[in-house]
Amino acid sequence: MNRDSYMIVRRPLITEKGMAGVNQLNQYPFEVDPSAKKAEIKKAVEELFSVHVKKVRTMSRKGKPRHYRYWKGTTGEWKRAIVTLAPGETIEFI
Amino acid sequence: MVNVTVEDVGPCKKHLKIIIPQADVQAKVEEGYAKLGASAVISGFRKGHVPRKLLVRRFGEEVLEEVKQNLLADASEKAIEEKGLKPIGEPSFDNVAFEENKDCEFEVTLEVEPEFDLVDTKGISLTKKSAAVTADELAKGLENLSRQRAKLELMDQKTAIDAGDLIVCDWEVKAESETVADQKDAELFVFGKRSGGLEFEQDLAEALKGAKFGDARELKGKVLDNYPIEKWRGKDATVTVKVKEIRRPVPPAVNEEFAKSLDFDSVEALNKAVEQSMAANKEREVQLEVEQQLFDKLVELMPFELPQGVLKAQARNIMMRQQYRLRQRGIPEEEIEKHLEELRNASEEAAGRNLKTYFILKKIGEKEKIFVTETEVDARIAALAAQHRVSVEKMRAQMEEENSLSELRAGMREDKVTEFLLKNVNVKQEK
Repeated sequence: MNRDSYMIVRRPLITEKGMAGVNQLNQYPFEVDPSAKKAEIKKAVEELFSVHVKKVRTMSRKGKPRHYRYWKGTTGEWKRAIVTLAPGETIEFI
Repeated sequence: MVNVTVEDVGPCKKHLKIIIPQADVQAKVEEGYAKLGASAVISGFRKGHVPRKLLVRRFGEEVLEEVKQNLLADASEKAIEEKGLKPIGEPSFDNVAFEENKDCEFEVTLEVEPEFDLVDTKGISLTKKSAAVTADELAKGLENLSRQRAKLELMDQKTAIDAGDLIVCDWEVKAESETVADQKDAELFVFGKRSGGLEFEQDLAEALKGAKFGDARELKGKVLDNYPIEKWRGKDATVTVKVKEIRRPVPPAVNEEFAKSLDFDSVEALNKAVEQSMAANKEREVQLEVEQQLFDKLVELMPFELPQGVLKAQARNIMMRQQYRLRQRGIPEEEIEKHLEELRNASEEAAGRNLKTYFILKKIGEKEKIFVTETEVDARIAALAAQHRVSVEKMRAQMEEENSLSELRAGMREDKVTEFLLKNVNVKQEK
């Protein structure tokens, strides 16, 4: 399935914890489509930011339970991807 | 270290060129970001842990603008202090070059207090008119008092109308051969040109002079633009006035009875009270006139140029007040427009005189070390509060809100300096 890179990489996760990885390990955290595979994420990041990706690790996050009056449900499932770049390469997203 | 060059660009006007070194600029920028970083709340980060890059991206422009404003204000304030200038009014900033990691250069134009040498005022001699009330003035005062208490009396049928009478008449207004208004037993005050929504060609006193009971007079005039019925506005009209009654204000004679009606035991007591009140008023006028003479002499003795911006602003204020007063008095707008130039010149002259007096008194006050103490200010506020029938706290709060406390202090200091000067000049009493 050929998907647009923008559909795969949803947004960078700009947080204190994420920044620690960026600064120390050259690892960038992203929220990605839950069905995206590591290879797809790698390709999408390389295409979007013109960099070389060394490694991709992913974490599937379950939605959190929420209820509204008598209605019970959860927030959406999502996936976090930690993308390690080739040494010397960076992404300027903040 | 801020680099400042000062240049004179006119009377009481200075042009400052200020250069702030890059290191100082950068220190202020860092300080700005540090302050913001400690308090900025951004989701995903704890307070004080937001990376500088993110702060720059999100708030960079605001931080730099704030730093720029602070830097400009601080540097200009320091430069003014360093060069010993006494600014008045708001300075204007031009050609501001501000960038991160660069020297900050800018220019300030400001008006300063005029510089002049004080002249010894001991040689000044003034004349003070007598404040005693003459017999004629007292008689006039009593006459005024009696006129204020005049009663309208019905005149007999042979009496002719005079200015100031109140007449009862039948009043019929016609325009374009139609009746505009028809009123029986209308009351008409024989004074001025306007009455009943019309403006007459002649003064009413003139037009009705000599008319007696039963006489009818025809007056010509124009319906005023604010007449309730729109169709008649601005139309030429003829008014027929048929006199039915004449009432004239008759002032009571100044005698024992009149004195008693005013709660005095006798005519002598009334005379004395009127004389005292007139003497107090006259004394105030005479004192003000002496002060004015002193101010005129001071201005004449110490010529100097005034800051033009402040002068113009003051003149504008005076002119606006004058225009307002004229409008309040009912003078038509066209008439005011005609005398605008005259009014402007007079306002500028008055503003110049006031400002020069202000600067001279201020400088004398500084030289003689005349100050107003807080106790004196408190006493004045208490007096004002009593006059306005409010509590002292309320009066003070109101003045603080209106920012008029400093004005009050300045006014009180001027009064003290005037008092000091008057003690040390030669005042000749006129007989």
